[in-house]
Amino acid sequence: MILAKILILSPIVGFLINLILGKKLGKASGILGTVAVLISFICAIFMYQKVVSDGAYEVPFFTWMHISTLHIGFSLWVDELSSWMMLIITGIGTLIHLYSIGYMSHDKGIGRFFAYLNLFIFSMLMLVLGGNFIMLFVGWEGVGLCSYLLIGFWFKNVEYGHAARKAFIMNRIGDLGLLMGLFLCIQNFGTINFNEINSIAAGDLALKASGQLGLYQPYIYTAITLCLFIGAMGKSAQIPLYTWLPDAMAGPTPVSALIHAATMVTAGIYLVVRNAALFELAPFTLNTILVIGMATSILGAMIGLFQNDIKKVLAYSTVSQLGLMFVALGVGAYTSAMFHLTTHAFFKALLFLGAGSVIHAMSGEQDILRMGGLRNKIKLTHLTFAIGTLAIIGAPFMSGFFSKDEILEKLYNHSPVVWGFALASAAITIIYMVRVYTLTFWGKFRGSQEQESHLHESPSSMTLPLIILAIFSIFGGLFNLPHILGGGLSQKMAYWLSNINSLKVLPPHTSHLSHSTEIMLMLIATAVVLVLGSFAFLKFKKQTNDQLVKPRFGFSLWGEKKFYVDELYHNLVVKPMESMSDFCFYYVEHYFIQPIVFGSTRLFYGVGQLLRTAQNGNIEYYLAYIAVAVVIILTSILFVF
Amino acid sequence: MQLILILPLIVALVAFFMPNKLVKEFSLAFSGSFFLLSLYVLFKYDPLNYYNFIYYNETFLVGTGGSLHIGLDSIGVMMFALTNFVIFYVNIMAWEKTYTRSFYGCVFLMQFALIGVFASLNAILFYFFWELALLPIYYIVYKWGNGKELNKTFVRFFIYTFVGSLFILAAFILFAVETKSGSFEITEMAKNSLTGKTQILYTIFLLIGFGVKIPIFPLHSWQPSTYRKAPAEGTVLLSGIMLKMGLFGLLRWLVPFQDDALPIIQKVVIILAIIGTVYGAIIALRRNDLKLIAAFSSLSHVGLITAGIFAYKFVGFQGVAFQMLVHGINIVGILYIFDIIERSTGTRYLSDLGGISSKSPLFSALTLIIIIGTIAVTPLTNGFPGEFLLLMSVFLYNPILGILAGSTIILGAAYLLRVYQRAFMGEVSEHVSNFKAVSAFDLTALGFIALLVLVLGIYPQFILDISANGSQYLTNLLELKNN
Repeated sequence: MILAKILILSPIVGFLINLILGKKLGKASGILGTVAVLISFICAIFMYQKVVSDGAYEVPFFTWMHISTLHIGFSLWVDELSSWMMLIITGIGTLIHLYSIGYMSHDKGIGRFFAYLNLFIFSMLMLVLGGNFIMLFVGWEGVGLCSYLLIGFWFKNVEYGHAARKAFIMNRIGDLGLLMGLFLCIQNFGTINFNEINSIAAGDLALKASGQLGLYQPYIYTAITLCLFIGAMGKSAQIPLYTWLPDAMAGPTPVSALIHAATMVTAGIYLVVRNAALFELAPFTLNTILVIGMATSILGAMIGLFQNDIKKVLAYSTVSQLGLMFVALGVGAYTSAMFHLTTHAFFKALLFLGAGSVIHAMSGEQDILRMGGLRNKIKLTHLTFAIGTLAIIGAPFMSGFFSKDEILEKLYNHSPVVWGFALASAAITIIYMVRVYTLTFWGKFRGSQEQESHLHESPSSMTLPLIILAIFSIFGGLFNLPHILGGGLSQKMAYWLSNINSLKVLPPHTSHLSHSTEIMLMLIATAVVLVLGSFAFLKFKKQTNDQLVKPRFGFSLWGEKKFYVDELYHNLVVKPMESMSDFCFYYVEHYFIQPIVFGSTRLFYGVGQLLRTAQNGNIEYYLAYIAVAVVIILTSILFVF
Repeated sequence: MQLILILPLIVALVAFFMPNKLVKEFSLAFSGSFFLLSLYVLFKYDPLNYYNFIYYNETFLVGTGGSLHIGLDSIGVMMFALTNFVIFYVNIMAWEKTYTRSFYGCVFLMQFALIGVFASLNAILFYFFWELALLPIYYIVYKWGNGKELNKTFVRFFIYTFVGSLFILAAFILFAVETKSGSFEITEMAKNSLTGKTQILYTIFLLIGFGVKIPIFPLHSWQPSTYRKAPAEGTVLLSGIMLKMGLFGLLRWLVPFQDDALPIIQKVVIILAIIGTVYGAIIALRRNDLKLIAAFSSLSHVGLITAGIFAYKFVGFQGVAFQMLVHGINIVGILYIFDIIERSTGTRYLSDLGGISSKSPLFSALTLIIIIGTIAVTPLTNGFPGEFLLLMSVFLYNPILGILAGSTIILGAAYLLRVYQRAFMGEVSEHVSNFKAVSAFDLTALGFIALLVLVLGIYPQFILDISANGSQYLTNLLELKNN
């Protein structure tokens, strides 16, 4: 219990101290912020062990709101899922805090930066540990707010401010969905507690399995889960609410790594897994998730193919990978999605931090067309970035290989067509990641001379996290090895996570792939990686400067312009909204609302004239006389009677 | 303890006849003490004792139905505290300015009248205080207002509210005549009930009367121009506390007399209120004048509160009570911030502003907290519990309307963050370049509001416990009538 309290409060204390004393602390604020998260990480390890030995438990704090039958407790629910997420958040969080000490050392606002970062860790912990929907919502909005503050961290830049606001508002659209889902739960189930909702859903699942009708109509589950999924779409950047994430790269790079790659954007996946039993009762929603996830995965990858900003490529890659996780959720492979979430957290954080190190070395340059040949200048960054690239493209025996393979396997089991699409998305991923890697680290240096003279490896506070994340990116697959590799580690994480309330009650999967099919799928995936990977590497390595800067046309121009989705939204949503605002103000107010008054104004015009002539400075005495009269009447009543 | 209700009148009298030199200090001291006193009353409030220790009943003017029947019930005591809070902040805002004694006299007279409105348990007494509360605001708007066409704005404001009040009086007389009881006592009135056309008339009269003050769409056209031209303190009074008179009036004089006979009126009002909620937010999206943004934001927020009242649900009433209090606190904060900006830069147009963060980081941090509290439904700020419950009540009434009303959580974020981004972020603009430093006095006062934003957000149960009694009472009444 005390551990949970320290876990939650430590980042809050760090936040408060950094916020109030940030200016005076200077660089010490970075150390303070990092230690605060490290303490949480240590608590998280102990709490994880307690879950391993004793199972899930609840940590109540206090009653937050109590409205008739609805009891909203400020309480935490520590189970396999939340402790797993907690380890990722605080573990990767600590590394990214450490990295930020070096990365932000020249920034005047370092205290504010670490304050926001600590507040984010707190909110994210609330999100995954909350025992009911409201607590989740607290964290959900909290991370959104921190994301807003950190994207707009360099507030003097107007563009960054726009990006921050866009992220917040787009997330709010999702939040409305989540809120409506929450109201539907209250309306139908009368509770917002995850465990209670789960047991209701479990009851209906059991009834359904025995061929009976459930207690609740199927459409109720469909409505609730669709609403929840809209929430997930916003936070996890799925079509149509994904355009904020690439813009969010305006924030400092560690923020992109922590919030917009490893943790916050996976909240949507967490939400679905947490309520898997509900989703299992709504096949329509699962199919919707499958389709949207697949479309996002492919669209994100395709746009990533044509971007030249190193962070933008990684951002679209995140959109695409999240799409893949949703595809896994759509076929009911909840633990596979969690597995990919975990490995993705490692290698995507690694890639972003590596990109940050590159940008640091290049004096702020983000355009890969102006990089090249960096492998000899920043060796450690190069090595770790290469590992990250290998992991994300699913090179054999890297962490991404196992997690992606597991999803592909489940998809093949569901339908070979779905598997084909996912494989296509994975293939595009290989090309754009190899492109970024090759253009950045191979070939000739294409930047300015000044940039070249400044090239330097980052300080050890920045390279240490890179090394640690690289190790996890290589060996992260060990958490959950496929069946065929057998041994004690096989499917360990999947078995473990299946203990949570929402997954425990799901009907067991009936069909399994045969070992030979599994091996065949694995071989196909491996072949695709090797062939496409080496092909892309050789192609991009040979590209000359002229070829690179050649203006694009046709489809690739579309890709570079992000298929004009932003412009589409601007013309379809933003502009009409603005016109509507002006229309209401200048026309509706004037021609519809005003006449109601003017009608009466004319009626009482005489009254108005009278009043105008009466205004000669005597009113204040008039008012005073009224006050006197009132006080006399009142006191006489009080004392005489 | 009943003396608490009279004290502001005495202070008003003294202020009216005080030398102009001292009146500022005098007023600040007294309004501050009243605020502390009201906090004491709030903390001492005992939910089990319905009217608490502030209760007085004396009959006078026998035969006309008038009586001096006052008492602060659960929601009333919250409004009492809010009144004192707002008056305190009006005095704080006036500190940097040169107002004469009649301003302060008016403010305290208004405080007296407002408390009367929230404490009256007799319809005629209520009407008396209602009218009394309007006089000072007329004077303040007319005397210290500025801008073009002030006369026109003022006449519109005056006629609108004056006619509105007449509807209220007409409704009360109608009630007394029709039920033949001849009594204006709320306890007596509750025993009778109107039927048929009379009930419809009573409801519509009160809706118009209170609806003007709140304002309910489309009765709001006096509001934007009055907000713009009134002095900042006047706007604070109008939006911080006077519009709560209307909401409170609905809760006390309309809801208890409703039954199932009027579901259509209920539906129409909720729909109008939600149109106002969305309409106000949409207009606020693009306005350049900060005070106009405040006006339309207010229209949007109170629309949701009105919808919550007419959802006729316990959660709704709880949300209404909480949000009435919180809207009062937050809009005072917002208007105070706008006033500081106008004082320091000489402009309140967004297009002239930018980069205040670089000039005054602490001021902008406090602003951000208050703005985030005002954006609907952000947990751990005071904007969460009330609006969450309101949206829930509307959703439970009708999911489609719930979703429509819910769109404010997007629009609210859009227009408020636009203000913050334009005024505080970005490069320092020309007007802001000689931004006068915000005084420690102002920062402390704003800091207290920011603190309230967080404290009420983290521990809302304190307020919910106080209002629970009133909400339960209304819910029970409605259930009783409908069965």
